[in-house]
Amino acid sequence: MSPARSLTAALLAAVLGQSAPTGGPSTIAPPGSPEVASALGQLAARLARQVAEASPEGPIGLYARADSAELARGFITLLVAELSKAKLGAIAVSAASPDAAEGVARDRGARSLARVSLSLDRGQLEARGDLLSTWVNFWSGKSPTRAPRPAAILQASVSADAQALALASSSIGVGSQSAGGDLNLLGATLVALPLPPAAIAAGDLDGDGKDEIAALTNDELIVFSAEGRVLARRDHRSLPPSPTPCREPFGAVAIYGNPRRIAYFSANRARGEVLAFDLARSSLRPIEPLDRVPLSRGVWGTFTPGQNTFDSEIYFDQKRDRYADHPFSALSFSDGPQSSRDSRSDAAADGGGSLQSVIVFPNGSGLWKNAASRQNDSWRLSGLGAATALVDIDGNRLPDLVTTTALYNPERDELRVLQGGPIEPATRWRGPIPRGRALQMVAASNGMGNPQHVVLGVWLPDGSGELQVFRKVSP
Amino acid sequence: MRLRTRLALAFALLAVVPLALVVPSSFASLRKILSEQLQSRVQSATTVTDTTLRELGQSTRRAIEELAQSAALEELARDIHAHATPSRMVSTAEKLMTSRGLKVLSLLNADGVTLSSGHLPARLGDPDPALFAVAQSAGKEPVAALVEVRGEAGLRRMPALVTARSLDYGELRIWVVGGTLLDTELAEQLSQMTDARIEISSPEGLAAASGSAEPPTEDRVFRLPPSVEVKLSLSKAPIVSADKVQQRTFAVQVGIGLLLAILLGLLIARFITRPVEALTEASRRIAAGSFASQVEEKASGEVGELVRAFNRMTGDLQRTTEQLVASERVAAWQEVARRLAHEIKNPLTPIKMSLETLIAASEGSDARFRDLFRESANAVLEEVERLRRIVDEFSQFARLPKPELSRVDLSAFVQQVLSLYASPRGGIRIATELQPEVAVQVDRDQLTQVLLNLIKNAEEAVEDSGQILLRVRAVNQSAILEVQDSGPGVRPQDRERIFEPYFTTKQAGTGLGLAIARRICQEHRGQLEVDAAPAGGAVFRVVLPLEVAAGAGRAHSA
Amino acid sequence: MRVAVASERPETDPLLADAPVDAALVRMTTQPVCSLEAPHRLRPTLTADISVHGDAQLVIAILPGRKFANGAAITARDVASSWSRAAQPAASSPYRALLFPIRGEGRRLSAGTSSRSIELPLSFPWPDLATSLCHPALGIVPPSGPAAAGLGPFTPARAPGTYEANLSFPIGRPFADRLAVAFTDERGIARLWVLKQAQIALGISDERYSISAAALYATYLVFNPAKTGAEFRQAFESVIDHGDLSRSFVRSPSTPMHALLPPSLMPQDAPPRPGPPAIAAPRQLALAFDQSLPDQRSVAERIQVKLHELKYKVSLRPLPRSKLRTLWASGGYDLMLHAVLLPPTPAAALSLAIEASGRHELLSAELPPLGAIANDAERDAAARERAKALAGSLPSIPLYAQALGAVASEEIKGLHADAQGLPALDDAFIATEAPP
Repeated sequence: MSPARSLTAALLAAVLGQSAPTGGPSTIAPPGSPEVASALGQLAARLARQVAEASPEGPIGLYARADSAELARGFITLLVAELSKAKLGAIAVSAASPDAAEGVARDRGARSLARVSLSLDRGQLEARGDLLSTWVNFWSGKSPTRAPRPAAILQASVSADAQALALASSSIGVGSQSAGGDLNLLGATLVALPLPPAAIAAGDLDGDGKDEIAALTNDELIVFSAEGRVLARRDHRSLPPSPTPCREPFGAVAIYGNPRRIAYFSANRARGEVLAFDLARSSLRPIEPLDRVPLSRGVWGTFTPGQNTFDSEIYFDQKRDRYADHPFSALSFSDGPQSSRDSRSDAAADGGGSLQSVIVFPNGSGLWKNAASRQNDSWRLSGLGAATALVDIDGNRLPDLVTTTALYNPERDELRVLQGGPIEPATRWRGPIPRGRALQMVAASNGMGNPQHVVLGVWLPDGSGELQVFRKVSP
Repeated sequence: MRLRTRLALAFALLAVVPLALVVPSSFASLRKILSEQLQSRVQSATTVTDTTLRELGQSTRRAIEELAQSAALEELARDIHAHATPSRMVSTAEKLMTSRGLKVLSLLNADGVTLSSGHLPARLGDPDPALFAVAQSAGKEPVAALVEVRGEAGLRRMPALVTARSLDYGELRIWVVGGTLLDTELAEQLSQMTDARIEISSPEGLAAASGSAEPPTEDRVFRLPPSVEVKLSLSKAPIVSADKVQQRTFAVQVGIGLLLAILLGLLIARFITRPVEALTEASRRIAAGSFASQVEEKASGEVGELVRAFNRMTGDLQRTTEQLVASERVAAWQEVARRLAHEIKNPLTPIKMSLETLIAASEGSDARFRDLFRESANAVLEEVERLRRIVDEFSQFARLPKPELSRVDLSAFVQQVLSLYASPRGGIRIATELQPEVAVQVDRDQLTQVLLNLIKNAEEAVEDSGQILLRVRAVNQSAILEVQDSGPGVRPQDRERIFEPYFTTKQAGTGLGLAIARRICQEHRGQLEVDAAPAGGAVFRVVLPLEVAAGAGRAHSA
Repeated sequence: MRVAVASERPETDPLLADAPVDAALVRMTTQPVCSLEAPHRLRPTLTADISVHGDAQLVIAILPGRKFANGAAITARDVASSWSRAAQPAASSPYRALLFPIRGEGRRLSAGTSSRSIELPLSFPWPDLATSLCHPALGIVPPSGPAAAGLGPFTPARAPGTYEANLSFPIGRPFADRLAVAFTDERGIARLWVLKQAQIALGISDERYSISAAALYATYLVFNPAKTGAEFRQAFESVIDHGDLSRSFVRSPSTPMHALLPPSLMPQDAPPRPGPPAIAAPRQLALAFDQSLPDQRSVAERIQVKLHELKYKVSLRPLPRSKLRTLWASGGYDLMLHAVLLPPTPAAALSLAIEASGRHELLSAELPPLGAIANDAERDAAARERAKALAGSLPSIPLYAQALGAVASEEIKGLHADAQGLPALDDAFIATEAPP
């Protein structure tokens, strides 16, 4: 049995052991409805509840500490609002350290103090802290004693969402060099999907410079904005079924062309479609049917019947090329400077720049090909995960190899950044993903020149999926 | 009884007697041998059965002992002690049972509840009192018990030879009770080994049987305690039938032997007696008058000599007879000639005298010449007439013409003759007893002559008064014509002589009448006889062959 | 993947393959139009949709392009004829009760106007019909008959005991390329297991099961009251303990049954065992059972032995399954062990239990009131009530229910049982560690 299948299917089994963490990210809302409370809001509500349960004496001082000041401030604001809902007055306390916060709170007249430190780790936004009374019995003698009440530990965690991630990572400096410095990524859930994603693609559809994400499931193709809002859906259940469908969700999506087109082909259908995105009407209009599988811009292939791999022969436009020697499960191209090129073949023919590609095989090995050079240089790689892409994660215009865990059955999936080119890649960073198993990866950008972020197509054990986003944050 | 038959019988007897002596003794010895054989068979069958049953018991005991000490059981006990997995136990005993060649196996716990049963797996969990009783009994030897085994038609109780041992595992006690079924298979095995009928029966009836033995049988019974019996039956029928077969064979053989002996005897007898019979036949022929019979048979030995002597004798006899006949004939001719001469001479004398007288008369011219001449001439004429008559009669006698035969009804003929020719002198009564329809083939004239002759003779015999009876009757194949007179009869010594020519007791007459009559009768293949009549007279009988049907006599020639 | 199966010979006819091991094997090559993930949740395999129009019609639209393993297209006619096989009198199948609500009792199903849809007009509303169609007995067989592979994730290969993946299986080909199935007995399975020559074992009675399957293969003792006498039930209950029967004589996994439906479908209250009745005269009865199931033989012998104590002389009649079905349909039996694979919904299971008892005529009285209840939970409860009420009056005694005992080695993942208690071998895969 090929490892890819076992890998993808191990998802369900492997994650059976994992307990689904409590809390959830924002679910997909039909366009126009108010959004459900964000992660930060939920965290604040939880904490407020815990605080209220401890029945502190008001007013309550709130001290928060986080990696990023915006995160801390945002949290405090929300917590104040929550506490006021509970008819508890609260004031923000800023201090240099948690110990100093007590004095500051006392000075400002707060009778209780909640000290919280926030962290965004492994996709969880966690708040930890304590609640204590600031009133000290000065008459108790040499060492002032505290009131026994309130005294509580505060602890809550929710899954981080994009907003929290954004807040936590907002201190990324544009253009900061990563060479020689430490690399740090932070990941969070972007949006939940009703079914596991079969394929994802990123591209700027509406011309605002930010890449939209297109996610293909077994039933439909959904286009999201960079923040996770649903822009359009296309139900492809009306297409004729494939004679040799694949058991797991599988397919391919590509965004290309001017005007922008989305081409998709689901492995459980007999053919695909080319759609045009209509922003005004928030719809996807079918242009023409498709009988080739869109692997990337200008690159076409075919499915291996019944399996979640592509055949080894692919077509650069019309030219057939035996690009790989086995069926492969993923193919990723790095965007060279000429990323506005419509066709990779043109880019390749030009011999332009640094068009690199990585092919991932189901057994975890891979091939790094310099697609631009005529000699078709290639280097063998090994230990690649199912979701692999060439992403310029640190903004230095050089593609980094980002991949997931190489194990078939890990307890937790993780993201790894390998730098140093194809010959001797070294792990620069590794960290766990919030939950689930990531099976697809694309690079999305927020505009030219900015470092790209990684979008993962993740499968969850309950049979649904989600898109997660990983960004570089300052260490 | 004829010689041949006697000889044949003698031969047969000769053949049979030794057989009859030999057969009963050989019968007896054969019977003795067979019954000895039967006895030895019975003995060996008994031994074999006994040994087999004993060995069965031994092997059962060994198997159970081995099982009770085996590692498999130890493991099983450990299993049960640790945790009973009941559904696995259903087939456990069955496997142990078949691997050790037993047919009955039950594993019981200390309370007699079945932990596993090989012969009735469905008994698991139920108490088994029968086998538990065996386990509780202290004996080490196998005993017979009744166990329930399964069949497609339901449960049956079969006798089995079982024994029990126990295994103690901690405070757990397991009884191992098992053995072999005393079933049809065992019965068949025993039956094949002993070639007898085996019946295994329990208090509930016949459990298994195999083989067959026709009655009458010889039985032996083996008891398997406490309540099972094995009966061995050997059939005596072969002896009986062998007996019968022998008898039959012997009878057949004796019969055949007898038959052969008789046949052979007949043949040999015939061979021996044929010359004798030929001799006997020849003698009879000779007695009947044919002197020329010779015995043609060839024979050897004494009989051959006899035959030769006989032939010689008959040859001599024949010659002698011929000579005799010839000399008789000559004598008869001589007699006839003498008589004739005498007869002729008689008239010649008067003739001569008459003539001499004449001569004398003619010389003396005697007046009485003419009368003398006439007298003498008459006398000569008379004598010549007499001579003529004699010659006529003689020639008649000598030369009888061939008879011309025709069918004549005797009774009618007699009446005709009586009416035409005879006119009896007064005082003589003629009576007739005439049977009608008596026909003969005769020459009518000749017969008339005969009849007339006889009637004349009868008239002469009775002289003036008397009765003459004419009788015609048919007796057997002969027609008889009798002329009976009441005269003086014929003296016995003359009865044959009167038929000779020229024998007469009468004054007149030639004496040829009866001879001619007899000759005529002989020519007609009949006879003329004389007999004394019951009243003292004579009866002359003419016997002629009866003509039975018209045309029957035509085949004969005179 | 190497599978070791405790079975002599595979049954290929889905109507006859209802013992758990047989059903699991048949499921590899011949499946129904849908499968049940939970008692009321089905996953359509062949069709896009199974919908009920109003209360009176069930329409099934087959997606185009579906093919049998030999390349022949699956038409609605194939599906309809596969279903009506169960309802034919010649098949003598108790599973015709599943098709009872269809007008004409499913005997004459015709494809709809197009060759891709089937319309099933119903005699009375029956919401559970869709889930009933997921019963393995209604597997889709090709027109040539059940011997060839029907609609299933695997197809038999040329070598005996090997099955190749069916690339054109509608929900996607199975993960395994090939299955090598070894047909042997329990000891052979143990041997193969120790030698690591089998990765999945089906039909074992060990305790260490890898999947928990519902015990839905229920065995009833159906009897003919005219031949056994009215006191038979009491006599039987007085000597036979259901728990003992299920524990000692039947291979696990098995559980005793006291109520008409097995424990996974309704609560069982074990009534106290009655005393033996007075038996007027000894009776001679013949007990027919399936000769291919050693469990039934052990149970039949047990019944024979225990009833012998009460002067019932029981003779055993082992029959092949098809002959047993014919005997059941004709009603000419004295006693018979009848085993059916019940569907996981109580109402459909009740219809099958009534049918299995030989009282087909009761279906028209019992089913419409149940079908009138639209709510699933209420209908289930009502079905349980009816099962409890009918238990004493049907000429059948529920004995035990069995599930499929399956173990898989550690490297096999994804093996789970559906609501019918059967494992989906097409979802199983071998998970190995990749070189780092």
